[in-house]
Amino acid sequence: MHERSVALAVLRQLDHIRESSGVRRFVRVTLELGELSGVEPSQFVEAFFELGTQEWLSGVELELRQTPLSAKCRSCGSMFPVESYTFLCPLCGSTSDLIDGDKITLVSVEAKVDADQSEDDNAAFLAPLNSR
Amino acid sequence: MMSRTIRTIVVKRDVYESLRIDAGEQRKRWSEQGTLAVNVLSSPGAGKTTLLQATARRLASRYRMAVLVGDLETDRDAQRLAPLLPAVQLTTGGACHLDIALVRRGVEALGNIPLDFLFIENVGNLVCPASHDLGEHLRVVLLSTTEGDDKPAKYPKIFRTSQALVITKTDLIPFVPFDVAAAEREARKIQPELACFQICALRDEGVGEWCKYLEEQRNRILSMK
Ligand SMILES: Nc1nc2c(ncn2[C@@H]2O[C@H](COP(=O)(O)OP(=O)(O)O)[C@@H](O)[C@H]2O)c(=O)[nH]1
Ligand SMILES: [Mg+2]
Ligand SMILES: [Zn+2]
Repeated sequence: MHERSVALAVLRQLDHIRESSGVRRFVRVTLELGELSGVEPSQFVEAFFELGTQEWLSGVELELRQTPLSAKCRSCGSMFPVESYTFLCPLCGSTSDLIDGDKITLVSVEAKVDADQSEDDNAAFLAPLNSR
Repeated sequence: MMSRTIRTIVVKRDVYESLRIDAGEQRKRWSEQGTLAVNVLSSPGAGKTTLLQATARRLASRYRMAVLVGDLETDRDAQRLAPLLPAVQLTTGGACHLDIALVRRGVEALGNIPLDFLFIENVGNLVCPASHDLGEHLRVVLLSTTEGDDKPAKYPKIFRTSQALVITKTDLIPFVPFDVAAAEREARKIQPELACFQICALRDEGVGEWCKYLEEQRNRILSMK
C-alpha cells in the first residue's frame, strides 16, 4: 500500500538532514500521523524499517504520535474535536474547516553529530526547500 | 579527534509538502489552459469507465476532452474509451493509486493538446487514491448501490476530500438494500459541501445533470483566470 511511498518520503527527508547537518547516525525520529492522514501506523513502521536499512539508521527508534481531527466552524467559529468523522459543528450544525489531523509531520530527530557542528547549522537543511 | 554528541533537531515539516507543491503547479497550469481536471475515484467495478463513456457521449461533440486511465495492469478501459475520446493508459504496475508524476507522463503522451476537460480515472480503490493530489480541480467519488450505504463512514478520507458524490447503478436499487438518502446523509456529515448525483450510466439516467455540473465547474475555473 502507499505507506511505502510515505516511508520513502520520510527517508529522503532524513537523508537530506543528514547530509546538511553533519549527522552520523539517527537515534530517534519523531513523526505525527494525523487520524485522517491515510497512513496506517503499523504498515508505516513495517515499510520504514524494511526500506531504511542504511547504516545511519541502525538502531534508530521511531516514535509515532497520532494527532486527532479538529475543525473550526465556518459560521460560529467554534473549534471542536471531530468525533466519528462528523464535520458538522456540534453547536450550530454548520460546515467546518479542518484544522488538524490530516497531515504527516516529521516533528524532530535526535542524532549523533560531530561535536564541532555549530548550533546555527541547525537550520541549514531547511534552506533548499524554503527557497523553492 | 572529533567527538560525537547527541543533538535534537526540530524539523516540523510536512512530509507531503514537495508532492503538494507539484500538484498545485499542475493545477495552476490546467487553470491557465482552461482545462477542468477531474479525478474519478471509486472501488473496483463501481462504474467509473461506464460513467466516463456516458459523459463523453454527451459532451465530446461540444468540448475538447481526453482521459487518462489508471489501471494496475491492463489497458482494457482505455480501449473502451478510445472510440469516444483520446485515451491514454497509465499502468501503475501494481501500485494502488496514481501519482502526479504518472499523470504528467500521461499529459505528455496526449501530446499537450488543448483541452476543455481532462478526466483521470484512478485505480479502483477507496483508500490510497484519497491521499494523492493529482492537481485536479474536481475530485468525484462514485459509490455503487451494490456496495452498501455504509461506505462513507468506513472510508471517510475519500469522501472528505471529494467535491462530488455520484451514486451509480441506480437501476439496481429495487434489488439491493441501499438507502440513497442515508448514504448521502452519511457522506455529508463527513463533507457537508458534497454535490450529490444519482446516475444509471447504462440507461443514461441522471447523466445530463452531472454534465451540467461539469460545465458549471469549468466555467468557474474560467472565471477565475
Ligand atoms: N446495472 C448496472 N451496471 C452498471 C452500471 N454502470 C456500470 N455497470 C456495470 O458494472 C461493471 C463495472 O463497470 P465499470 O465501468 O467497468 O467500473 P469501473 O471499474 O469503476 O471502471 C460493468 O459490468 C458495467 O457494465 C449501471 O448503471 N447499472
Ligand atoms: Mg474502469
Ligand atoms: Zn458553529
